[in-house]
Amino acid sequence: MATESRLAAAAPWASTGARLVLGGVFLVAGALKIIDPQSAVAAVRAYELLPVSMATIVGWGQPFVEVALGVLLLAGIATRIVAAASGLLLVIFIAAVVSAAVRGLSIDCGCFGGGGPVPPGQTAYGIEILRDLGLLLLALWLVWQPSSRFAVDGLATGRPRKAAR
Amino acid sequence: MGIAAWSLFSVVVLVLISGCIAAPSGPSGQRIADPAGYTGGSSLPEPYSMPEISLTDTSGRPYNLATTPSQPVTLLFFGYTHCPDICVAVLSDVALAMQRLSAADRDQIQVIFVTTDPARDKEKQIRRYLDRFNPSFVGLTGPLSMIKRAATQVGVDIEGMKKLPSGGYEVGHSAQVIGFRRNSGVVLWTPGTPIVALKHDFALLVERSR
Repeated sequence: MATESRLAAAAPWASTGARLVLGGVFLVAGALKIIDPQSAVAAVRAYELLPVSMATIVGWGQPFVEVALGVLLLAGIATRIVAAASGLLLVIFIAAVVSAAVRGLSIDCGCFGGGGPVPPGQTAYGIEILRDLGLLLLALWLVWQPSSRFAVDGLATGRPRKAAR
Repeated sequence: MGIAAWSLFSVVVLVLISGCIAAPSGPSGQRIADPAGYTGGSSLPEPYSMPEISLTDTSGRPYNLATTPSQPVTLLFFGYTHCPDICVAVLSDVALAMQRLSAADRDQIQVIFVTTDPARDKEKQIRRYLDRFNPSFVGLTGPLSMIKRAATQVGVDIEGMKKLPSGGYEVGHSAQVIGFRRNSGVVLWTPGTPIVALKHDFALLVERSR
């Protein structure tokens, strides 16, 4: 019982850390793309998964989605739902990078701006996938344990609040 | 709060799903086989001649479209650095196709980007823009009248400026890439041509230029 109690006390702090890391990463990643949308379009196109028109829409729109997710996570607003959306986005990112690796493409993921072709042998798919898997774990944690400290979700009571299901 | 969150979630899901189900770029089954064997490009029954026009490259030196390139194959594209969509996609695709060529074939090709917006596209800006795709791409600028003359000679339309609500403007232009074999424009590719087809066609153009 004592162990369970300690875990219950630590979970909101762990969720706060997860929110800050995941939200910070999304915010930075989105902001770096927003300041250079043309590179974002080129990065999306480099995956060779989307036609030109769709690559343009995703290249211009995705950074704003990332920033929105980052801000909501940092503020702790609708944490469970936003974490679920973040997790879904990360699954798509991982699938895209795996797909690029399997098809033998030599590209930078463009996760933090930039992107596009890189010389063969200079890809970093392994690190990119591991990083996204780590972030996905944080997102899944937040779906499971959305209550956290310093979150707007908990403002009403002044303490970690169980998120709406 | 709940509605806003669900709206955001729905938008994310819709964007992602639409991306997932979008057809991957690949040769269309309805494409009519090109008589010259290009899988993505269309061969020109009456080839264009490379315009004998001198512009300025990104280091400020004169660059004559017909006489300066030392490679036997030239890929010519007209666009501008503020172009919001199609120019990026086209140059990105060309860069990716070039990357997949053998080094020997790649060395035989010069990609030339001519700005259609010389008022805003200064040499340094063009250089920065092209470097994100491939530093070997040549960027050219010059008087708009000369650029328009060169464009007209190779079937590229440059429309006037269209003002944007933001206060800026965009420049309408055709977005095909024209492939020249020793100054003879024999093939063109439209935006959205699959990268694998571009790579095939570039190699074919090099082979035929030997």
